[in-house]
Amino acid sequence: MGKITQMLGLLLTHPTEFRTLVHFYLYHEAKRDITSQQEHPTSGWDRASMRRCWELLDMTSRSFAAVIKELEGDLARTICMYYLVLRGLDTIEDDMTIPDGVKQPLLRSFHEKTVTPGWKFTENGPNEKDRQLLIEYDIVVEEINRLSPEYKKVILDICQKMQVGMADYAHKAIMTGTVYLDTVTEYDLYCHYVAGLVGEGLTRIWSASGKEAAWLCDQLELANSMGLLLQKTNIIRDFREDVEDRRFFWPREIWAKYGFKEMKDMYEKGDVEHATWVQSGMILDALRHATDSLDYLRLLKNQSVFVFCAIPVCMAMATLSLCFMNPEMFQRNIKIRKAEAAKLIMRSTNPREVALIFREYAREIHHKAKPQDPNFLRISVMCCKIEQWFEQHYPSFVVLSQTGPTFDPLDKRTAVMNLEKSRTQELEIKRAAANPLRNANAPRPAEMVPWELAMYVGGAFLLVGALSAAVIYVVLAVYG
Amino acid sequence: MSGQKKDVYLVIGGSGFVGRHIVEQLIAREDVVSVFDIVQRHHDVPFYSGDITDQSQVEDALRRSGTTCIIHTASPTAGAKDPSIYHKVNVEGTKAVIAAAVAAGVPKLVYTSSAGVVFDGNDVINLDERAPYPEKPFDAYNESKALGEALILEASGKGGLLTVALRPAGIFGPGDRQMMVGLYQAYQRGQTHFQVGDNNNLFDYTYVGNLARAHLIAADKLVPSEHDAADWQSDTVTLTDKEQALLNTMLPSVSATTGYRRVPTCEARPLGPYVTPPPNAEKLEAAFNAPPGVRNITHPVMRSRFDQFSDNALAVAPSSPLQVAGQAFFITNGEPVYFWDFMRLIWLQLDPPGSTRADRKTLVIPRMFGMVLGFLAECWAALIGKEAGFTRYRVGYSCATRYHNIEKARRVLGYEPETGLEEGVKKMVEWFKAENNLS
Repeated sequence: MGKITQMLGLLLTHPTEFRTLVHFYLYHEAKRDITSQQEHPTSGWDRASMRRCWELLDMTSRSFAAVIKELEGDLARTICMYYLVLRGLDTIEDDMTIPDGVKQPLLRSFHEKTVTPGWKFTENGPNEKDRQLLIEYDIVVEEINRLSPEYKKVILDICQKMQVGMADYAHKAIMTGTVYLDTVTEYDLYCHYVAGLVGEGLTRIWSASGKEAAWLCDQLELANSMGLLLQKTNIIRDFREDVEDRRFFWPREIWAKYGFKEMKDMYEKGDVEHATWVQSGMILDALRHATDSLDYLRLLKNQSVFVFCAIPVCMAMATLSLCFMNPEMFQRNIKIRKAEAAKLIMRSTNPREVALIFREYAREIHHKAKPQDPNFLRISVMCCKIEQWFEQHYPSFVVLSQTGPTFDPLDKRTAVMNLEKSRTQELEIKRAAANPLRNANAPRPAEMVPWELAMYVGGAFLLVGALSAAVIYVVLAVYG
Repeated sequence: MSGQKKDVYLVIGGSGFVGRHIVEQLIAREDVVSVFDIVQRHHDVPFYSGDITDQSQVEDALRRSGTTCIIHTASPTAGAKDPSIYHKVNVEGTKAVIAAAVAAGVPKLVYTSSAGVVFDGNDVINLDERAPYPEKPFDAYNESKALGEALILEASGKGGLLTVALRPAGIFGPGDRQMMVGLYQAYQRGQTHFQVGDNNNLFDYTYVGNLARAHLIAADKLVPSEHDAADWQSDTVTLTDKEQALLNTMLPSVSATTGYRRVPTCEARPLGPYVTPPPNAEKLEAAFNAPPGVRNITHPVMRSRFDQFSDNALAVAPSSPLQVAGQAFFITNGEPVYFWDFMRLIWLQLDPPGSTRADRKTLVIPRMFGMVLGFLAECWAALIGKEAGFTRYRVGYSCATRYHNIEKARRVLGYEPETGLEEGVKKMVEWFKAENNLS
């Protein structure tokens, strides 16, 4: 009932959003149903333990569960397990009620625990939202051990690298008593541990599955950029919530120069202007990863993998645009509107469209930028890099129409295309004239046939002749 | 160039904005340099006064100075009263310089062209050097620059001369006598909160120091190419290993303004607050701290068929775009920005500390309305017999997209913009304030 009144309200206040959501509910269906009988061999839905893992996924992830389930073949189950392992690790890292002496060895051996049959962990604080996952972790262990060895190897390797990073940072906070990250370099490294590595692992799994190129897993910088864009966006959006929970991810290098002593000063001291410059500095830093992410998406071949990667980064760009120059972000948790999210999910189907989405948000951000902001020009340059990326890979002079691509006659690049076309023809004619035998090139099939045919016919004649001669010889030899 | 004899330079137009910066950079790297110009503004290098449209005067300067490399930057500034001067200097003058170079046996000639040679009034979007000269040039200035450039490129490989042309767009920096004047006028009139058009149009700018450096690099790299023209055009092109390497590396994005930061990966990262160092600690750190440079990748760069270095484009290129000799290169800061943002940056720098001028809300005038206003202003100006400040031309200019693709210069010349937009603007405004006694 609540949902219906909500939708009715939306119809009156935001009719276009209402339309988008109706479209979404009507036309956007999941590409795959992991519960159906024919999917059981790859989704594991027929096993109680795997069914529980799928439930745990729904419990621990709002945003990723849907896209994970739509992945093809055994990728869905693999990524589900990968997610649960890292969520389990994260739940230990996050829990401030676990003393460092317990947490350190626990974190540093988590990759071993993950394959130890029967291992589970019940000592999370009562407020830890995903504590149930660790209480039932023995089921996760069981299913991890069922994964094919090449996937399992990647998941455990990434888990080990991440756990070391998390333990190092947690230990440093305890030992030095400093709660803040000082530099952007440290911030990048922290994000690499908690998100960049996830990107590396995913990419290695794509390659191992054979659904993506074998060399994709070597694109480490691009894979990390994907992770960093998502992580940094969350860190920016969750500012207030994180600060209140005493989780401080914004590096001092970006905010201390405006005179803030503590992160909470940004909403307590009433200096909205400087807080806004800090916010734009953080968003500028996140936008650094935008074109790398587009590069990554352009390398993908499998549609389900593409959609899995594209939807979250599009949401991230929308969120960055929402946060930019928005003082409300310092007061409460803001979110993109449901209809906007639905639209993005429906649109994120190919790299060109995703690049267009990126460009739209880049322009939105740019239009909100203020010249007094010390980051003003760098924001502009960053947005223009997205514009340039789009033009480099999907040039706008190519107009996609019903009848196929046409070229915009006013664009200078059309002249380039026409010039190249006429040169191609010239070269063909020139080559044909210079080398009549090899000219063969373009009209090869038509002109080659008589030659080959003549040879075949000649060969056949020879063969028949030789055979006849042999027969005559034999006949003569026997009867002669 | 190591092991090679150093060149002796003659900068034609060495008293001008760009020419002077080239002279200064040549002096800084202890090269032998002379200047040929009509006016002398500096007295630190040998000066030859003369008219470039007179071949004998140029030839005489070349012989007396012992020049082995000419850098030809001379050109009248745009907006001259009598447009015939453009043809005279940019076409006739260039002809005379080429003839003088061949007669004096000078092996190298670097020409300062202009990105305007491909401009016909329409938008220029991420355009590369394959673009032909427009059938209808935009104006007399751009037409003369295109004719001059064509002469220069045509002359390469003939009479012992190698040539290269550089095409800058929107040059700015200390010594600028065009951009700052107009912008300062608008600033004084208090027009800085007006914006014509939606400001979604990207524009190219080039810091004069970067452009000067590009000239030096181009001069250094101006050597006979590995493919002669006949070889390149014969049948299928096979690239040399060196050329393959030029193409199959990933260029990092230009970062002069935004700054460069390497994204940490499991193979290249700082060590962070480790308890026990990882076994490959040194390797991790070294890889992370390595200079940006080109990234070697394990798969070929994926190019669309519209890309200038795609296989189909290379196959029909009239000459090797991977050589320096006989080629034109767009040279810009490689970081185009939305048109009005660059203006705002300059105006903000002109503001004395504590000024709240930038806080004023921007008044956006739609393009069509701007055109009407421009027309009216032109009529009014014609009526009272003054030059109009707000014209349809200016409206069109500020609403146009004009930026170029500098990948060829980055790959083939190894050109990288060093001074970013912010730093460049700061240097220009400081110079402008000092020059005009502003605080």
